[in-house]
Amino acid sequence: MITIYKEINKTLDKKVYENIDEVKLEVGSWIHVKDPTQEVLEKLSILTDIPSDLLLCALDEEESARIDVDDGNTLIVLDTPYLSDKEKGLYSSAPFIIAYNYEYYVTIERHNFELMDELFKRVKLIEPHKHVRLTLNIVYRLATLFITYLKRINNYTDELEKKIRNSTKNKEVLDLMDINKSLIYFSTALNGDKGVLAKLLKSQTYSRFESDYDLMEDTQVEINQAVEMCNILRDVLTGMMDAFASIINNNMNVIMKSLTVITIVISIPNIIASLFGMNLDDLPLAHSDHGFYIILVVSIILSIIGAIALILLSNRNKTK
Amino acid sequence: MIELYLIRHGETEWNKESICQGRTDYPLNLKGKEEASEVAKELKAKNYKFDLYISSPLKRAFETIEIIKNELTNNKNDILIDNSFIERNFGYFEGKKNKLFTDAYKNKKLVEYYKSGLESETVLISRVVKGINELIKTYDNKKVLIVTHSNIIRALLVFINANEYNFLTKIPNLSISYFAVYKENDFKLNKLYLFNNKYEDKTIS
Repeated sequence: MITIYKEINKTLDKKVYENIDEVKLEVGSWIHVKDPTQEVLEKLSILTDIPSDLLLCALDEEESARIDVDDGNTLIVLDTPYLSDKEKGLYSSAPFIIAYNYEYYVTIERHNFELMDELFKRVKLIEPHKHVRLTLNIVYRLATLFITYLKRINNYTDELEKKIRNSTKNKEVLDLMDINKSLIYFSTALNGDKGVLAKLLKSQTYSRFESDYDLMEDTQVEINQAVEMCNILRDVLTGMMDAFASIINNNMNVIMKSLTVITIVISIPNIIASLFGMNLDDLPLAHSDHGFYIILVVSIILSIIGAIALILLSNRNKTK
Repeated sequence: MIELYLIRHGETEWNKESICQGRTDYPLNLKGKEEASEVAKELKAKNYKFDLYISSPLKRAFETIEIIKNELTNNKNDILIDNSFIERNFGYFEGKKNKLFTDAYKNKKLVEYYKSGLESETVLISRVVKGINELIKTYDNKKVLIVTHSNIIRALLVFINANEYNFLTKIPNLSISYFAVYKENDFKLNKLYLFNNKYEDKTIS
């Protein structure tokens, strides 16, 4: 799907096309393409005069965040977070492509990013021909999107923490691992985007408009906040996972202890039985009428005494 | 800050017949020369003084700037020739009717002609902007007059505001466009068609 935006008399004009062949372009417009094929991108390259190799990198899922400026054509790849698994609440990141020359501004996305909704919800007037401001706005909204997602993850970990206190099932550990995975994606993406922003702000084209200085500063602050939040969450999560591992260890120890006690208690009648089981003539009670019952009662009594002794011993250790 | 006055060269025979000239080096015709001296007189009457005269290397621009400069100053200072402000290379379209080019432009068919040497808009704009960035490095706080070609002026207009101008914006012969250059990459259009109110209504042809 191809959406074309152009500013006409201080309002944003929007046209939606399904087919690239119907598209009519005017200089100064912004073309947003969703889930394109290679053919669409090649035709778009002819329409806008942006080299096709810049646009075609939208097809690569693993493209990392970067900037490429060459002869008036600029390519910006931003790593953007998105909800990859709604049921499990898993997040991942994928590239969002911005490519522009002096006349046209092209953005390409392959997943349903919330970035565009966020942009249109928050920015009052988008002027597609002001490429610097538009790019900064997109990066700014990207940072706020990261923060929104991180807050959601934070709430989810709080819930999980409560559950972990009461139960020690594997499910919670697996959930924690999933969250950790999302955070690793976020952290990598954020570091890439931060690098891109730093490079943008350093470049000459971006330092020319004094009216954009505020936006630049806000964007920087926002992205730094996102990076910090991500790091804090990752630290908290690592701590939680460590704590969780020791809790499991501890539970294991408790179980092993009771198993050992049972083994010891059971081994007492075992020893007695094996001693009296020897096939010798002079074994005590060998010729007694009630020999078996006496030995049985004695071994049961010894077992009970042993069990009580062990329980008392462990209780004394606990109180210490 | 540089005060930048861009003047399109006077009329040539091919202008009259609306043939695309590009890098083809045609001199001014009689009407071109007369109109150039009219503009020069008007500039003198309104007391314009320039610190620097720059011309595109093509004959039609150089002849125009000579006429203007001789009117405005007695000083025998050289006219600077700057290759950054040479007309767009039109490749295949040079010597053909203008309409052929504008049709191809409107139908987005220009890409097919890049092989014939046609300069792409992006490359053209980059070249012009680079040229002006060089100017501000060496001639800050000067008043500069450049005689150049329509597509150079259009390139600068598109760079400043792509929403309002494109490569069909009307730039008549000898029209003056007045820009302010604050720093590198930071340009502003003060007035398109200085003096000439008659073009006002037809910003985009």
